[in-house]
Amino acid sequence: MNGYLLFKPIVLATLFIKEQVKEPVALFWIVISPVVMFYLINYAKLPEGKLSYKYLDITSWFYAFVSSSVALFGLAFYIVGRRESGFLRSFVYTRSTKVIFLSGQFLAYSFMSVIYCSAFYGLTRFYFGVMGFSEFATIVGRFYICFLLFSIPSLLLTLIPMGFQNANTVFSIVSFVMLALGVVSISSSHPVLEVVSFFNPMWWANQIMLVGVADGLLVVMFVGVLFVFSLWMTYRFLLINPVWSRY
Amino acid sequence: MKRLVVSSLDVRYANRILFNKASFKIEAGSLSGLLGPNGSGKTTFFDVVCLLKKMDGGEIHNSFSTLLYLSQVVNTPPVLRMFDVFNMMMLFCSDTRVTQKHALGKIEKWSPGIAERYCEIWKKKSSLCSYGEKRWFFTLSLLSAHADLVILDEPTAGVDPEFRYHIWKCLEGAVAEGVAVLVSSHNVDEIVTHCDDFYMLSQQRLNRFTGAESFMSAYGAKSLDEAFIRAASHAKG
Repeated sequence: MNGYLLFKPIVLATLFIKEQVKEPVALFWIVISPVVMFYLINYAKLPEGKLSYKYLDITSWFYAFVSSSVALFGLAFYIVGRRESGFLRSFVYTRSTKVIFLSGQFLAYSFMSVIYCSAFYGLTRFYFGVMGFSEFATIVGRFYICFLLFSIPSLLLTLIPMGFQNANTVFSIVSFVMLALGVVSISSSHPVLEVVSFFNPMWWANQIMLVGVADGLLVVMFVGVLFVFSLWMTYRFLLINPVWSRY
Repeated sequence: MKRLVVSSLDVRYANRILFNKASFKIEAGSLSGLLGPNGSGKTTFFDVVCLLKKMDGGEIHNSFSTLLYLSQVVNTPPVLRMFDVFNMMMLFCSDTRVTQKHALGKIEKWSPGIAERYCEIWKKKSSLCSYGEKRWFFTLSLLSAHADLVILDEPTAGVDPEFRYHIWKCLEGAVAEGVAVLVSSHNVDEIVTHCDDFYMLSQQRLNRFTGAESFMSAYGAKSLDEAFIRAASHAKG
């Protein structure tokens, strides 16, 4: 295998990132909406003294939600979009092109996840005092694990033959349900909710943001294994033809 | 010599039979056409050859090393310029790096005087290109990639006469260099004029012809269009 073949996913990821950056509305919305929500909730709920709370205790759910948005509406939704536009049918139909496409897509949204996390950190951290690089690096690391966690169901969702609009609706429902169940679980210890939380990726993402990678090593390893499995499943069963086409 | 040979092909969708013991052959350095009415199975045939659809019976022997397929639907990311789209396409279509210089060199050689138009589209935003411009740009760019078998599904559909002229010139140029090109079209004239041989999809078979006369006489017709219509009515019957 020559160097160019290995280099292809990186070049493709660069082009995908360029495409994403040239569509600033989606970029802006995924970054800004959680930040605005964060300030609105804190303005309504937190008395002045609560600012002494640890930063991650207040923001962990927001980071979890942002990482889910990047996985669902970035990584997975763009796979559906490229299928429904006919792009996959035109160029991605062999084993090697599937590998290039999925690798490029994953690299692009790995990069975007770090950008989204950094933007959220930059726009909210100063509210709690001085920023620190080691704290920032820790948060980015945890956030990236959350992104991998949400990529598992997101990638598997792309294997369902849904059109663009239906995919958008389903992704929105999944995002909303995960968040709603996560929020409900904060103030309730009902046994049913505890069981539901166990199967809610948003709850696990919140735990990862709070506990960290070192203390949650088993969970992180489990996420890694499941992510590799879901990526392989996506490669193996990637839908090439648009759902709207007759093929 | 490199060749693609399809023997006794059977393909069906649910209870509808598209191909029944159909056969086809194309060799390196030849330009073959595929004719057939809408819905008769031209795209399905390409999909089978490209292993996008499984066949229900038959055999495919393909000794070509690199196959490229341009389907009817080609949508590009609207925010990117065509040079980015070109680079993106080549990541999937070529194992070695293909540059604008390389593509221009080939295209200008095949159809002199075309380079300027190609460069104009090269710089344009994808969303500002017409359908015809995109098809023209894609077809020519794909031909310049390092493939020995190129399959084009209606590359001239929606393309104006000037671009169509250049597409056929470039197809013939690529074939002269040893590339095998299989192209479908609804325009019988252009297939008969430019192709070394062509296949008419009729009665779930691929009937091979080498010229206008044999095609018209096979269906007892006085014109190419009449022959196509008679063959098509056989296909539906």
